Amino acid sequence: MSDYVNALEINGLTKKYDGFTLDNVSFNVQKGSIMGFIGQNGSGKSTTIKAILNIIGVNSGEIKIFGKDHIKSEYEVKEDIAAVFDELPFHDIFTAVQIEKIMRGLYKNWNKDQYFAYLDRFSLPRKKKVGQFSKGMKMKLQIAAALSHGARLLIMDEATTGLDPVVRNEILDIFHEYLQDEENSILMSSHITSDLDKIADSVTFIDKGKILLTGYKDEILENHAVIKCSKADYEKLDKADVVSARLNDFGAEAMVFDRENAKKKYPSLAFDSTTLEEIMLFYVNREKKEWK
Amino acid sequence: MCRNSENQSFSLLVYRSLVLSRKSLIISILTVMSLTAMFLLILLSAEKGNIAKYSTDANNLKNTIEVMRIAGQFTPLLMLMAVPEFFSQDYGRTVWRYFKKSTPVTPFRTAASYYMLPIIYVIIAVVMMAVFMLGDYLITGEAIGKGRIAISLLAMLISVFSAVYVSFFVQLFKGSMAATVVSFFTLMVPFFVWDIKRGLNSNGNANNLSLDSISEKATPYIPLMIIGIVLIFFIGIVLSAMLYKRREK
Repeated sequence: MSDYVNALEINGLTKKYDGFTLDNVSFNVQKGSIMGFIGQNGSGKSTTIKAILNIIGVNSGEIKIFGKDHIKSEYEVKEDIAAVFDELPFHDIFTAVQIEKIMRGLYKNWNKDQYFAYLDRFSLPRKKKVGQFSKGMKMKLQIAAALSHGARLLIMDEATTGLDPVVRNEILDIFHEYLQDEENSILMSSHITSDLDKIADSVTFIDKGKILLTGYKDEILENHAVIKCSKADYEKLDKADVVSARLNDFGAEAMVFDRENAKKKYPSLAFDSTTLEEIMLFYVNREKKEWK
Repeated sequence: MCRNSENQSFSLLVYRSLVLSRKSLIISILTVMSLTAMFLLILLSAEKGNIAKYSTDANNLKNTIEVMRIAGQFTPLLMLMAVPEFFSQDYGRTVWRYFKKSTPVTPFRTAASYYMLPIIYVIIAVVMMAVFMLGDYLITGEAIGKGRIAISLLAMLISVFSAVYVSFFVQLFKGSMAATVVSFFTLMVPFFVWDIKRGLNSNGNANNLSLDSISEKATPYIPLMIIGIVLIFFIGIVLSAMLYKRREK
């Protein structure tokens, strides 16, 4: 058993670009769990992942992977990380067999048998050029490669984007299996929140480079609720209790972030459960407070 | 988990570049082999065949043999022109660059693997130059002196330097056109300036820099030139490792 609690720890990560700042980002991915990293396009998810992988330098902040500094122990920890991107990194002329040879050159713990077992399981042809693969096949191939070197942390950057629901479900099943080993963890960035609703243990919301929320998914879903009410009822709400509200011709939908407290304050109103997608929408629009 | 000696071997690190470059590698080898064979045939003809038989001017014949010698001996070095291409491969596919940086391969290992194919090219070029010189010896019966080896090594040194130099800029500018422009101007312009100055200083008699005089001057430096070629590759690897370590913006 390893002695770290969090597979990934990010503290005060800041990266400044012209026109965009990843601002003081902090969150942890607990060992043995899957964290959904949620945000709209351009919110800072990929920048955070590039910083974790030390692809980009940062202005300040600390990143620990398996309890070790991600720069000082860079090559040691990278043996146990697998990164899956939204696009297959290999040129279209390669076959799955050739990719196996490339991967074997990259990782000490590469397991050829496991890779080919995944190929068979996913019904991926071994000698067909990957340029002829569908997007779903390419993603499965990437996941087969990612899971065949004993990685203990899987980092997925928008990897399920553009895949059909059947393939996405298949991939989520594989992740479930992967997490059966409690030493394994996943950070999965996505703006498809339905996948994370199904699989994530914890979630982190990011918007415009800032962390909006981070914590256990169930707690976040329990704490948040949507009040569907008339505009008159909405006007009576203390706006400090409200994340933001969607107004329409028939009334208002307001999201509260402390359901229990709001229930006590507004006992006559009905509180609906919410989803990660709704939470994202209401938080993204929080600056407007009221939106349509 | 299987750990075997084959894992992370150098040959496997080079494998991707080899597959991506195999067409240009095969074409380069075939071109150089064909040109070498053609120059040897012309040399054979100039020595013992129709060119020798029908030539009326002994000076012209001598010049033809010299030109074929120069062409045949230096043509294999053209292969090194493909070297910067290996380095630009990584920049054409951003996601591969990101993926590779997510792996545990160290910058020095990566850089060394980048230079494996150029070193293979140099070895092939040396073999082809040796084949040409052997053919030349068999046809003309003239012994291969140290002078010819020296001038071949000098040409090799210049070619390797140019290849590594351009490759450095390809990496510095991440495969953009700026690499070609900057390396051309910084490499070729000083050469042109030197050549023009030399022409002016010689009062129009610029031919005083003959191959014979160069080979004579270069002969004592044969061991140094060999060390120089190795050193240029080593510096290239170190620079590549430093540039690879540089993080994206």
